[in-house]
Amino acid sequence: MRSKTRILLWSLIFSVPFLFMELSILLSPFEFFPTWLLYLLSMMLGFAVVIAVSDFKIGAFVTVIGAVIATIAYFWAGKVVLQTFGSMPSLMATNLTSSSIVITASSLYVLAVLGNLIALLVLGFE
Amino acid sequence: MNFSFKRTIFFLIIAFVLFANLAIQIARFNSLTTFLRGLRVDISLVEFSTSTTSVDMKIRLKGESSVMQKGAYVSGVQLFLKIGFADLGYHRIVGNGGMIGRFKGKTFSSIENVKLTGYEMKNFETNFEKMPLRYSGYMIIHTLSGGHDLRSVMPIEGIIGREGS
Repeated sequence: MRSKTRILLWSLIFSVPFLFMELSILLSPFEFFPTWLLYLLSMMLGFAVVIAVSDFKIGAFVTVIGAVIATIAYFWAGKVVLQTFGSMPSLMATNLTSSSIVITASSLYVLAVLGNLIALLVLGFE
Repeated sequence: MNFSFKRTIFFLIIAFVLFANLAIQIARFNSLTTFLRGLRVDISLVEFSTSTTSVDMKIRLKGESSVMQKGAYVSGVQLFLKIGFADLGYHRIVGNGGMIGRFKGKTFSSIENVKLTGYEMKNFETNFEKMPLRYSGYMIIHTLSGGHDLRSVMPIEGIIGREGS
């Protein structure tokens, strides 16, 4: 498989669990996993994606592109969910979450990159 | 490098764990909204006694939902009472220790006191026989989900029925 197609395909696959994490934070009043566990899982996801593609460079690219795709999807999904079920206060809260998700998504992304780096150190891929 | 399923297992397990977590959260969100949507509130007058300075009403607050919700309780009711077009004032019922009562199964029932004084009492006594008692206001409902105590405010409105008449 060509490298570009592979990166794009893996980015789409990576963006799905990343979107799950972001939506979990959106629905945090109903939380099942505490937030720190989500951040830990984000790190493990970054670790796992490097193992899955067995290349650090591709893994790191996949993490960036996947996080961006997931965040764009989050904006869309979060607005649809809240504008369908939400009342006026929650609509106003949407605007707040829209800006705060950038911070949340970057924190999740940074931890995923940390997982990438740990994979690089532990497994020593070229 | 070729694709190997063995290497993706770790990734798939984490993705599944995250999916399960999100599914539980959505189920909790959904159960709360169905609980609040199915909730019907009914207020009735049990009895009242008149003295020279005030009217003491005992009212029964009843809530019934179509589904069960774990750890749901009512912490307060704010009522704007009217008899016909005459004002009976604003009454805040908070119960003991900030809680009126919890839902047992699908239903909630509690008897509370409302005291009418001054012009409210006068309005009540002149109109009691002819006019229906109306209420509007808010009911504050709490539900426990996960580690959170979620507070929802529900608007309520209706006619206070009279028990035993």
